[in-house]
Amino acid sequence: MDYKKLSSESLDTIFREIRIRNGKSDLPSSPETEDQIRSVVTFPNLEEIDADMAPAAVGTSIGMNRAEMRAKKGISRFFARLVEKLYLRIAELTNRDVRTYNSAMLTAVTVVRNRVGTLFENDAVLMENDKLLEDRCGTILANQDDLRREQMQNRSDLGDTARDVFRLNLRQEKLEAASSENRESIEALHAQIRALEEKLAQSEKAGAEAAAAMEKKLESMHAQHQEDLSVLRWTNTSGQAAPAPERPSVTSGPGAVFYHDFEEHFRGSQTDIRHRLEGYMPRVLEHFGTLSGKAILDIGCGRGEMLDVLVSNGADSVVGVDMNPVQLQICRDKGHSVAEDDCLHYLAELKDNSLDAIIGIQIIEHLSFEELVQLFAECGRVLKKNGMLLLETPNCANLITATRYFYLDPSHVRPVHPELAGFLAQRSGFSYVDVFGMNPAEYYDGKSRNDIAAAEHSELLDGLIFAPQDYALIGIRA
Amino acid sequence: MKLHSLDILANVQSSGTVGGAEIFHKKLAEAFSRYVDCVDLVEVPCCEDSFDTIMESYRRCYDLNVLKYDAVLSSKAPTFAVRHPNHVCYLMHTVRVFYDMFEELNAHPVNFERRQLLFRMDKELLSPPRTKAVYTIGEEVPERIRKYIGIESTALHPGMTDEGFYTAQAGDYIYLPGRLHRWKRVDLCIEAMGYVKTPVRLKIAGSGEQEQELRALSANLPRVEFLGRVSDEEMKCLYANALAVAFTPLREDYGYILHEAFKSEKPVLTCTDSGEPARFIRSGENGFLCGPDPREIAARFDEFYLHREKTAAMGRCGKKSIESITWDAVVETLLPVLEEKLPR
Repeated sequence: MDYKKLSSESLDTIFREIRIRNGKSDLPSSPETEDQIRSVVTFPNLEEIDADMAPAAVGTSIGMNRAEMRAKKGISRFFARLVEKLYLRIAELTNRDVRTYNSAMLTAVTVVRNRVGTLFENDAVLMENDKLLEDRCGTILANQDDLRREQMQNRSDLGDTARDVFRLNLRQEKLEAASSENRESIEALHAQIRALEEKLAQSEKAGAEAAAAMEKKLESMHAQHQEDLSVLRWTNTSGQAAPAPERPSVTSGPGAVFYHDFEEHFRGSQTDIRHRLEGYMPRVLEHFGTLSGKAILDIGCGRGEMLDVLVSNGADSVVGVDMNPVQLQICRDKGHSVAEDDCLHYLAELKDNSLDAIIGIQIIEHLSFEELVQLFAECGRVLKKNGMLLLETPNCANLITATRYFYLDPSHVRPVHPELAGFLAQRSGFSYVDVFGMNPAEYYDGKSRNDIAAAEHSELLDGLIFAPQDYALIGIRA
Repeated sequence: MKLHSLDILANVQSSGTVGGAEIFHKKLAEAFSRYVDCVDLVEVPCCEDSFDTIMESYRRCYDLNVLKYDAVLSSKAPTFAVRHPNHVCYLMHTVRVFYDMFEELNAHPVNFERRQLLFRMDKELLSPPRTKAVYTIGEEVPERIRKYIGIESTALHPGMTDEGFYTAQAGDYIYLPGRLHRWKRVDLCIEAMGYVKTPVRLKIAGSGEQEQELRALSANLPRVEFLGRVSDEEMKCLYANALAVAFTPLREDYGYILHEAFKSEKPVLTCTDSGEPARFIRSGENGFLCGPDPREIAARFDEFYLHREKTAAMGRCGKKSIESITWDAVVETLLPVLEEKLPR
């Protein structure tokens, strides 16, 4: 499924796609019946109806409720009672029809209520039965299907056998006829073969001569080609030719913890690194406008400082790739999406034109030249048009870096000269290439540039040039 | 208009596991059947093993025929994909691995595309006219779905899943129940026990994947005790006799432990980043709220121990603060919304 394309479709289209994919015939959007769904049914409460009907039953005894008349005493009470009795008599006469009707209705309602009660009970039983029946039907249908399939199979098996017997008979007849013809034709063939052998010997001689001539021609062509090659401009289009070699194990695998501790000790605090990396953001933001919605990949993400910086600048789909599980866990804890993979292998699995930016901080100096070439080629392939590649690596133009710091990290392969990096980028499909210095050295030996007097400058330089040519290490075991 | 029939949609895991969600649905259906004549709890088998099975589960809900009911109440993803003109969602959670737990997935570009598709589907499915209104089980979920897909929703706390909590004489231990998982941060409380100055004890109930690690962590702390898995009765007894309850998870969605503690009249200590439980605590009134720092937690443990009267008062206050959270209150909020402008 092409999730990206589906995302811009209507819900009906999305669900039609899912239906087709999952082998449900693409019915119009008529909802599915609830065949697989268990259902729990609660019935209305009959007691409520009973409660409603109770006062109605009391109403049948009309005339039983007499007023109390506490306020009236003596003669007035006697007269009031008289009037009441008179009224009740008359009412009894006039309301007789109504009362008959009411009591008939009440009886009817009671009957209906009882019927409904039994209906609900029946319903429950019926549902049980239904379920049982359905189950049985299912089994019967399944059995029937099995039987039918078996029958079909048997029938076709029978047909096959009959056909085979017929075919065998036919073949036997043919074979008998053919064998006599064959004997004659074999002799004729022998004669022909002998003639052909003679011809072959002749042509072999001619072939050897032609081959010698051809070889001479090829040699001259090859020489010409070598000459052409030296004139051709080298364009880095395919890095895939070089198979991914074994990676130095010091950054991953059993060395993972070592390398993490190593970086913690020498690379600098995460805050320092973030501060340094923040320096790239003006250029990145100027190029993209906003980082929201941009697919960005950070190869060799390490402890995730670049991921932090990108996210704090508005990026929302950034992925980090690294081979060091210890450092990846740090990234995950910070909420970043990361993959444990070799960056070349990860890049190789990405589609053409699929990323907006690829960032690699302090990584290319860890690659062999073959890998470096492959990396640039893959970046050129995977990035979209106008996509950005940003790499940072130690600059060997700084004397201290070139002579000392570079060799501190045992997983460094060799310094990448700035001009080599620029050249590789240009030949790998990047039209605008800028190589610039970053992070100028601010301190040396704990002193800033301004702190060091002119006299000391020459002393320092002296120290660099006439520094000991070797160094030794002595350890005393604890 | 009066509601006569209601369908409550629940998704059941095809694996058949019974957990909090299953009890939640049962209680919800029971509560509604006190108000509505015919309430059906329809269980849709769903599976979250892979993105394909998630999509198939969405489709199953989308193609469900529930038009015979007056209204439909859906709960967690993907049941809200159901199509009904009178549909309200009482959301437990969406598919979390594509939301706040996205970093748990392999960071392959295809997962970003899948997430984009899922967000696009969820957004439309949870908006009118497909869904009249969205309610959620706590305050964490509205924030999350607003952040990711821009859907507005209202928090509505569900009632308890279990009953029969009681209180008794407070002992000398802090009770810490729950699954022993990294996200529950039991280690914070164990580390805190290294800093306490009073002889307060910590009893940890439950088991889980982090158990060995936690036991190792508490090797030199004699006052930390692991009880393992306990029965429901034992659990209620442990609550009743506790001094206080500690519950310090990371970004919890609801957290029944806080409610159980309050029902047992015990104050709760939780962390500022614990999510929903932190929203219930008014520090000093019904418990303590502190940073995810063992020293700070230790100071509060000591405070529970030293000021027993105040601790008991906080527990009583806690019980009061969740009095209004009942299943009836849930129905009384949802029913008017379901009955509003019922198409006939």
